[in-house]
This record gives sequence, C-alpha cells and structure tokens, in this order.
Amino acid sequence: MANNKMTGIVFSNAHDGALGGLTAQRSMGSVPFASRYRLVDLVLSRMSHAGVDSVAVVMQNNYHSLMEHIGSGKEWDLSRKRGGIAFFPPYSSSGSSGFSRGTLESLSGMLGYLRSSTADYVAVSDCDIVCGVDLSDVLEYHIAHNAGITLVCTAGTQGAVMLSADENGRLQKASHGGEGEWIFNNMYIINRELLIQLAAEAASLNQYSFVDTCLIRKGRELPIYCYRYEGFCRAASSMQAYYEISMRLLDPAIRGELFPKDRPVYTRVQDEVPVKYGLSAAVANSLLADGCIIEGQVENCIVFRGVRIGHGAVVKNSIIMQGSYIGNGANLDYCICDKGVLIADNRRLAGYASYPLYLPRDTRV
Amino acid sequence: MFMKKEWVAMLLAGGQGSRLYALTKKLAKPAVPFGGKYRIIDFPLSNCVNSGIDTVGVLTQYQPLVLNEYLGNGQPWDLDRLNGGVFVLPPYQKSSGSDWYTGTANAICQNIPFIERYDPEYVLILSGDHIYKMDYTKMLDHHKKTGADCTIAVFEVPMEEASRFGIMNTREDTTIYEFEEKPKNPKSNLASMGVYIFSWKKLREYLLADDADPTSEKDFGKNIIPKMLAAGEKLVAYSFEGYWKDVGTIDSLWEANMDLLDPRVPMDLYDPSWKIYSRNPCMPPHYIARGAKVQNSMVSEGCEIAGNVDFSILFAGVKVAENAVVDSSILMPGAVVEEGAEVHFAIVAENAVIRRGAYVGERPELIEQKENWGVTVIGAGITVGAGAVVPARSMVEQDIGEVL
Repeated sequence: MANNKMTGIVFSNAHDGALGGLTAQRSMGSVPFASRYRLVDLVLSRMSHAGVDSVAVVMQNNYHSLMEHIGSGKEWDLSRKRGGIAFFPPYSSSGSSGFSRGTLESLSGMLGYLRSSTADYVAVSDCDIVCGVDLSDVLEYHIAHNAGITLVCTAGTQGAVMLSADENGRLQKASHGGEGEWIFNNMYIINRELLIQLAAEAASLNQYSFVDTCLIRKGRELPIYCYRYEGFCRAASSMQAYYEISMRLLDPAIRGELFPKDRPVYTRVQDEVPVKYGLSAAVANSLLADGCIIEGQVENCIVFRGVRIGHGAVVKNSIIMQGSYIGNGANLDYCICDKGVLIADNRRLAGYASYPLYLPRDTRV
Repeated sequence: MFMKKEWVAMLLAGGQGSRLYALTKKLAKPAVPFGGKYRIIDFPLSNCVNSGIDTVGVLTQYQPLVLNEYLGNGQPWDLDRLNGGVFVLPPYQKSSGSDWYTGTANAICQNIPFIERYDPEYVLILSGDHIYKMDYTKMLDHHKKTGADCTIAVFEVPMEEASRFGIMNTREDTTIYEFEEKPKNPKSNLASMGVYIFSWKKLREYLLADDADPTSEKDFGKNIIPKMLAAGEKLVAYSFEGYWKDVGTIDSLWEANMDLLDPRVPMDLYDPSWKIYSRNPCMPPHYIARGAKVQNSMVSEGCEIAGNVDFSILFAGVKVAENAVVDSSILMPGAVVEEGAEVHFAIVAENAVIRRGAYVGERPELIEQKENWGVTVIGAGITVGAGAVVPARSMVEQDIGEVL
C-alpha cells in the first residue's frame, strides 16, 4: 500500500571541484551562502518542508565543517526518534576504497539503508543548485504521472546535463552538454523500489554514474519524467557563477523565491547580536546578517555574520564572509573574502565583475 | 530520582508589569521584546546558563501564553537538560483549594516541592524585569565566604535617585543592618537589584513561617528580608559593578534600548564569552535598499529598509518604506512603517502598522511644554491610519483611522 512518504538523500560533495578555493577546505554543502546560510540549508529545508523526516547525508571529503553545521539536524526539524539525519562518510570494505566514483555507486553502498526505509519515494539532491523549488509539487507531479523517476529541470541550453522530453514530459534523450531544451538540476524523486533495483544492478555491473547509467543508457526504457521548474534556478558551477548567484539575491523577487515566507530556510543558530550601524555608516543595496558592526560604506554587498567594517572603509560589489574584518579606510571592489579574512587599514583590493578577486580563508592583507 | 544540585534558580515572571501599559496587555513583562532580538527574560536566563546553573524554575501567572511558548523546552538557552532544565511553574490546584501567587515569597513557598526535588544548598531568586549581565558564581562565592544566610546583590545608584529604590544600609564588612524600601532620606546608595541568594534551609524556614502569618503580604522585600533582619540572621550585600537597568516603565525600557547604541554604556552584547541567548526567528538576512540611510542603529534579521533610520532599534522582520523616517524609536518584530510616515521617540509594538504619511511621536525639542513630552507607544497589532498624527506621550491601544 502506498504511503506517499518520502525519504531524502543529499550528496554533499558532488561537483566540489567547481568552486576552487571555496571548496578547498569544505564540501559543496557547507559553502557559505546568502549572508547566513550554507548551500546544504536550502536542500535540507526543502526536504523538511516537503514532509521528509529522514535524510541521509553522503560525504566524501572535507566533511568536518558539514557535520558540525548539521549536528543533530534539529534546526531543520530533522532530529527525530524515527528517522532524522544519518551521515554516510566513506568507508572502505573489501573490494572498494570507500570513495565512490559516482552517486550511483554511493547509492549501491547504501542498499541496507534504502531497504530498511518504509518510504515509497526517495528525494535525491546535490547541493550545488540554488533554487526555491517546492518538493511537494514535484512529488505531486511524480505521482500524477505514475513516474519511476522525476527529474527537476529548468528551461535552457547551457547545462552540464541536457534533457529532451515529449509533450507529456516523458524523457526522450539525455546527454552530457549535448542538445536538449531542458537542464537537469541534479535533483530528482525516485521510487524507492526502483532505486534499490537500479543501485543493486549497477553494483553488479560496476556502473557508478547515475546520469550515464540511468538517464543516458536507460532513459527511454524507464518511466522517467521531467518536472519543469520555472522559477530562479542556477548551479554554482564556478566561482564566477557563485558570485553572480549571490548578487542576484539583491533582487527582492529572487529573494522572495529562495526564501519564501511559508517555507523558511533553516540554518544553524549562532546567537549573534543584531547588526550595529555606526555614526558614519552608509549602506545601500546590501544584505547583512546579524553580529556585524558597520562603520563604513557598503554598497551591493552580501555580508555574513560577525563582519566588522571600519570607519571610512568603502566596500562595493563584494561578498564578505563570516568574521572577516575590513580595516578603517580600506577599499574593496569585486572581492570575495572567505571566512576570517583580515584587511588592514587603508588597503585597496579590486577584482572585476567578470573575475571577482577571491581571498582564501584567514588571509591577512 | 533527581540528582542533588548545589543551587537552583527561581525566576519571578508572574508580574503584569502594569506600568508598561499597552506593551503588556497580552504578554507578561519578562516576555517584552528588548534590544533588537531578545526578550527581557533572556538576560537573567542567559546569566544563569553562563554561570553554570542548569535548573531554573520560571514562576508565571499573568498572561503566560507568549512566555510559555517562548521558553518552550529551553533549548535556545541550553536548558533542555537530562537532569534539570527550565520549568514553567504556574499556580496550581491543590487538594485543599487553589491559590494564585499572592506575593513573591508566596510564589516560592508554593513551589517548595519543586525546589526540594533537587535538594539544593542554595537558591538564587531572580526577577524578570532587569537588563544586566552578571556572573552569579561570584555572588555565590561571596555568600559562602561570608557565611551568609542571605546575600542581596546591590548596585550603586546616584544618591539623588536612591529614594526610588529599595536601599540596603550596610556595615563595612558588607553585612546589612537595615533595609529601607524607597526611603525619603536615604542613608546609602546601595539599591537592591532584586537578585538574592539564600541558603535554602534557612529560606524554607522563613517561607513557611511567613506563609502562616495572616498579616504578611508574602513579599521578599516587605516581609522575608525584614523578618530575617529582625531575627538577627546574617544578611550581606554583594556589590555588582557594571550595567544594570530596571525596565519596568515605558521610559526606562526606551532608555535601556537606547543605551545599547551608546558606546559609553558598559553593556557589551558582542562578548562571545557571555552571550545572551534567545529564541531565533528564522528569517533571511536584512536588506538595506539603495537610497536608504541607516545610522547609529541596530537592525535585526528579516528587515527590509528603504527609508531613513537613525538612533533606533529594529527587531526581526521590520519594514521601513521609502521616504519614511524612524528616529530614536524601537520597532518590535514585524512592525511596518509605510512610505512617507514618520516615527519619532516611540515604541512600536509587534506587528503594528504605521500607514502612509502618518506622524507618530515627536522630538522633545519641538515641544514647548516639556512636561507634555514623553515616549509614544503603539500597541501590538495596532494600525495607525494614513496621515494620522499621534502626539508625543500617547498610548495607542486602538486602531486610528485614516485622516484625509
């Protein structure tokens, strides 16, 4: 009997290489985003709002900060007696190094977990996609179409995985960057029984890529449908893309889509004080999180928690991450300061709109 | 089975706070929002946790819904504990009748069974209407060192203001020989902060004796302390240095909020070693639009600001539209100031709406008769209609219609 329940699987490391320095010491999921979040917050909140009460977080590398961030999962209402958060760090066993070559291989390693679940459906997601899709809508579509797999996609021609579908939304063809009118957003809902079958089969055939095996090779034989999401949706596929997505947050319409009032994005609470603006503060078109002390000028910026911007400093078009310190009279334009960066008084640094200057964690200038 | 605790805290949160008028119409005083993201009770609760106290009884009586909801399981203060934690203690029915809490001492007396479960050596009594950061462990050390039966935290106030407080007259060794409630001619300037540490056995004795006394008002300041002094028990004063403010009136609440904006005031909320915890609303970062001007202010998450904000405290989710002016004011969670409206020297309570072009409050220098000036208060959920004018020192508890 169908229970319409959904369980979640999050791949926290997928596409780590794309963001360069930002993911040098952290996973994709723990990349700071929108002043007070990390990318994984969007995924976990989305699942939580769709009634998911158990989520498996699959990790490969650099997962310390992610585990610390998620903790028991209570901030996402995922600290449960039945279900809740389960971490899947790499573990080696006979015949495997523990590091999987693709998400399908990871899923093959989770057969026990999948078999013990009682949910009918599994929501699978990477962390690199910034969008406000409501998974309840996707599930409704999935059930209405009697689909085996429903892929979340957006219209476009420039994506890593391109899809084409018939008028009913049924997948016709999938390819790596080839032709197609829809971009696959690394997010899908799949029937749990089907997932177990595919993952078990892949293990025996030494297949590891979900896209290659399930979409490209078996795309037409399986009942795969494409759910077209029409709102804002972009992949943090490079430092430049990350910067652009961040800046789009200054648009109230995009913000409303990503942080809907009825489906708030949850994150770990840090008990910071509200932002204090000093006598000479001048702020325009910027987002700021709690705990900052602003004395200088800030324009077109995304400012994270606990940042201090000194007197006479001018910071424009920049992303300043948690705990960074911008000295008096310093001048920053088109910079991305990772956590804990210290810019001494009167220093001048500038990147360009198409090439923002990235300052790694704890850099001192 | 309960584990023995060295000390437990009892927080008196039952008062109506009638001098806060419109602000406490639907919530108890300790639940009144303060400082951009806190409620008053966050200060004593965080002090407890930071002082290593893990068992706190919160005595409630007046309008407890908001307070109960806010405290929840105590998790934001790390008070969701296996042994101990935070407990809301309302008055309850007993086999022989039921009683409201008739006084501060009576409230504790009715909860002797709660305290006894932990078999504590000491009990810390706190009130829920003061803003301060205090390490209670230092006070406990003083209590132990002096071998006191009761230690009362005192704060030095200017001599000319001493007649507004409960004043402790002490000897050189800090022992108290006299307590005077609001004395006309004060002999000292040591004001009681409403923070007491009692050796539990002694307090229990006095609570039970006082409860049996039909003439008693069952109040710590009026009955328990004088009786202990008269009986020759050892009461000592513990001097607290730092910032302490009673926020029991509209003016003092407004001033205490404004103190947070004053760098000369020794109230550092940014100190990571003594954080003030609160239940966090789940809101995106705040947004300051182009053309907005925000100075000398505190702004919390979820705010959207397009107007001018100066010397003000904005709680979570406040909206200030274009060409609106907010000056020397406190806007509590969800308050909205529409286009062209002005708010001066006011406290705008939760979810109140100031419509287009309305004018609320006034700057003191623009008022001829100074005695007519005061902070204006707009009650929770109230709408001030477009173009309406709300004079200084008003207390608005009903919607005000549009003025064309």
